[in-house]
Amino acid sequence: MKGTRAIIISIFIHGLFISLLAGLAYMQIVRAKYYGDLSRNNYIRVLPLEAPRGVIYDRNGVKIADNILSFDLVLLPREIKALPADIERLADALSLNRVELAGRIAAAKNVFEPLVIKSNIGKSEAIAIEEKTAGLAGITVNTRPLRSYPYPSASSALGYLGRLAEDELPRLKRYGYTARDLVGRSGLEEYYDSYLKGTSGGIQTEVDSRGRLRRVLGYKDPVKGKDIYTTIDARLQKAAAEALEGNNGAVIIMNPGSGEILAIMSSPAYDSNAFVRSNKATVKHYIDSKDRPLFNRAISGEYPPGSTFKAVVAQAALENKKMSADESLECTGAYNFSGQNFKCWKEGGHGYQNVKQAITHSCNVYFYKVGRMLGAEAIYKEADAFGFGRKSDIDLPYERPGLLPSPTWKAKNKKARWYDGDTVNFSVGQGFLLATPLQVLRMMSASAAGGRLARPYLVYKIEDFDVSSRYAETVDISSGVTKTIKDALRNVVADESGTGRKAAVTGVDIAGKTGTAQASKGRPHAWFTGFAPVKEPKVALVVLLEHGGKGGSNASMIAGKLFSVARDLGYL
Amino acid sequence: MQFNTLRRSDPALPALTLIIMAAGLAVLYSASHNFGSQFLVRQLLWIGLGTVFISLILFINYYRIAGFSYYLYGFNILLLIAVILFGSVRMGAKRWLSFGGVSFQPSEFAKITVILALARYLGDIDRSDFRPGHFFAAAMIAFFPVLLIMKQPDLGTSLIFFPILLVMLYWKGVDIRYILSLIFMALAAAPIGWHLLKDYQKSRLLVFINPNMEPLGAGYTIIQSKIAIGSGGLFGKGWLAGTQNQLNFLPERHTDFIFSVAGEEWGFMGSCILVLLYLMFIKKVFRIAESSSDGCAGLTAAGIMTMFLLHVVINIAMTMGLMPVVGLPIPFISYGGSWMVASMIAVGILLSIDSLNRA
Repeated sequence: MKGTRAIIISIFIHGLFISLLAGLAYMQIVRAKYYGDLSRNNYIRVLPLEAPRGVIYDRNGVKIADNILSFDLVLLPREIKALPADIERLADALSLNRVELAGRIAAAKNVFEPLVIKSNIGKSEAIAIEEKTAGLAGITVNTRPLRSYPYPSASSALGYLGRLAEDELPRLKRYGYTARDLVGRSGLEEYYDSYLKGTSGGIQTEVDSRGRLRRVLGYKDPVKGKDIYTTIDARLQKAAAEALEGNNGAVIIMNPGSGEILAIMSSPAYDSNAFVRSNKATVKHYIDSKDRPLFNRAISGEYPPGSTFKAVVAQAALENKKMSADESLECTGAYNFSGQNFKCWKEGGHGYQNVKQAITHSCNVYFYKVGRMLGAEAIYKEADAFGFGRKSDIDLPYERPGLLPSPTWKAKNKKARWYDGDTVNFSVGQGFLLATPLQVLRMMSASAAGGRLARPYLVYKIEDFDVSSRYAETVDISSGVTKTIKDALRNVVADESGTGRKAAVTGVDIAGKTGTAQASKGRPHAWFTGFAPVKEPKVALVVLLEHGGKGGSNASMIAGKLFSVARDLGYL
Repeated sequence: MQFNTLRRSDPALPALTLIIMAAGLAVLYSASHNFGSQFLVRQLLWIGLGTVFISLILFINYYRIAGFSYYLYGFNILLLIAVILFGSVRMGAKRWLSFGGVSFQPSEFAKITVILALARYLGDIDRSDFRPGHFFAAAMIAFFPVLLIMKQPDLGTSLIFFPILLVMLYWKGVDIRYILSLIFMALAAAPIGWHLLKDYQKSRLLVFINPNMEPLGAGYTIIQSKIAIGSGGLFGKGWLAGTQNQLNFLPERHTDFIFSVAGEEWGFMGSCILVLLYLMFIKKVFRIAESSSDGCAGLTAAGIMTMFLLHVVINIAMTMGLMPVVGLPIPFISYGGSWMVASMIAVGILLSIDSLNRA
């Protein structure tokens, strides 16, 4: 057989071989990088080593946020995938649903990435599982640091941790965050996240097709985050939590001179441990509850300050010489002007009241009149000096500025003129005025400290670095005015007729002011804010009870309880 | 006599065979040394056995063997039936016959005996006298063993008989209409054949169309093989240094997918040289077929050439993901006794024909 058929066969043979060579050239030259990357992805694994976060201490060196060792049961999907019988055995050993477990393994995106089957199992359970799954390929128990909060009552200050959301990653990537990282979501954990967060380490390994370690190519130690030292007293914090139990409200206890926060509590409380231990039902409750446990009322809640604001108005009046300490005004139980009738809380009125009496009895009419004498601008200026209407720059996230109104503000935002009625409301802490409990406390502390408006803070030391120096502002108040006001505030608690009698604690010289702030609906909010001892204040506090009724009642009682705890702890 | 025949024949064919075998042993060592030396030792043993067969064939000489063609064919049919009756099952297929501890695959030898029988049958017919009856008889010779082999099941081996018959008829010079009707019949039979396939065979064919359909199942081998070859790049990762190979990412890498190992470790340079060596080998066989004055010998050589050509091209294309995984080993390199011995027998027959051509 010779001729054309042989030639055709020969062409055919050469054509086949040229195709093979062309295919090889395409794969091994043109696409070499693509396949090279795929091959490296195959055999190089990076096992991340989570770094422990920095420890958070209270003022006495007690750990309020710590790390414990957590045992996670992990599985290599690639290894187990081929063996359905293994999945059944594993499910039985862990008393998990077979179908569900198989589904989770099947859903694993990267079959080489270890899949956490059960996280945070106990040490004894870990050992038991290791025994039960002996001989099953691809199942191991990994250890990692787990955040733990020995004092759940400190959660309002500490905040909680959460996984990084996908849209945050691009922004945070250059700060060393990865998709697996837990970040602070509130409180100190969020505010100081960049310090607390450690640097993850990792082991770069060469693995075979079943994901088994062949050799270690590189190792990077995880670096623990920086420890932070707070001014919180875990014992006071616990007392505050217990005192607020069952109420929606907030308590802050602070050193009025320095601004050191001793306790900061928002109620209903939450337990930060629930977030890191994947306690899904509890977390869901925190998120869904209409009482909003995750909302920090102490710094983010904005309420009318009510009568607590009278301390500001009184100081404005005395300082501006609109009134003297001895001058009295008559309260007939109501105040009429331009056809409107503004009532005092006491039917029949207080009679003639000087400033001390007006504060002691929380007489509205006295302040209506004084407020009108002062005018809105003067009250605004004084309130601004006392820190209303702006953030205190406390080292916690999500602080709200409240709202300090003024005629200019009203014109701009409400497109309306400021009426005298607005001034009347303003002078008793109602109307447009909104303040956070922290602002009310700060004002009271400044009144106690002769006008020194401290900057509140929680962290005084990061690792070895002192960060306690915070510059304080001053409110221009003469010492005479301060004395008058402090005397009046003492009477609120000490005097038989004072509205804050229930805050009294034997052996402690306490001053304060109650407030009953009209809420837009429901019962009024109850306030008490005060300090002790009157002469040299060491502790100032604020209690707010949402819809708590009269400030003289429950709020004062809680304040009294906390003062007595502070006394027992040696603060007073 | 042996030595005379050897001296007469072209040294290029045995030389190419030896070079490819040597390269194959190096690749096999790299692919299997993690599991001990038994693969290499046994492969060497089979090469030794193959050498004995080559000597035997040269001693007997091709014409005498051609005389036994039908007997050899008949004997092989009996062996294939024996496989169905008494064969041992390995990896889900019944392909092996065991005799006192030695097992082999009669289907690998069927390729040779079918070629010998077809060559004998077609060689005896005068081209001008070729009639439909001859065509059907030739088709029967080729397809009877196919039925037995499909039962094992062995898709690759069964499919290879069809192009062998096609090329041999074409080589014989029969009317082109016979060739066309054969192709038409094959196309018509394809849908029926699809239904006869086992599920794993179907999934292999489907996976060829989309390997990512089952990245951990049937598609896994194709994906890993492509990664191995592609990541070899121009110069390869070095002998014993292929990560796909050494870290077990490549399944079946000592048998059907051994070319991927060569591609990964020796790169484009190495795999190119290997492909060109095969091309030279095939061209030598082509030359032998072409220079045969005898019709029967020429047809035998053409059949063997087709067999080797298909094994080489389909195997390499399969490792590159260009063809479905059908399980055809690559000659002289893939690990496996029956195929190695059968290939060497084929080389022996070619050498014998070549020496007779030059006599």
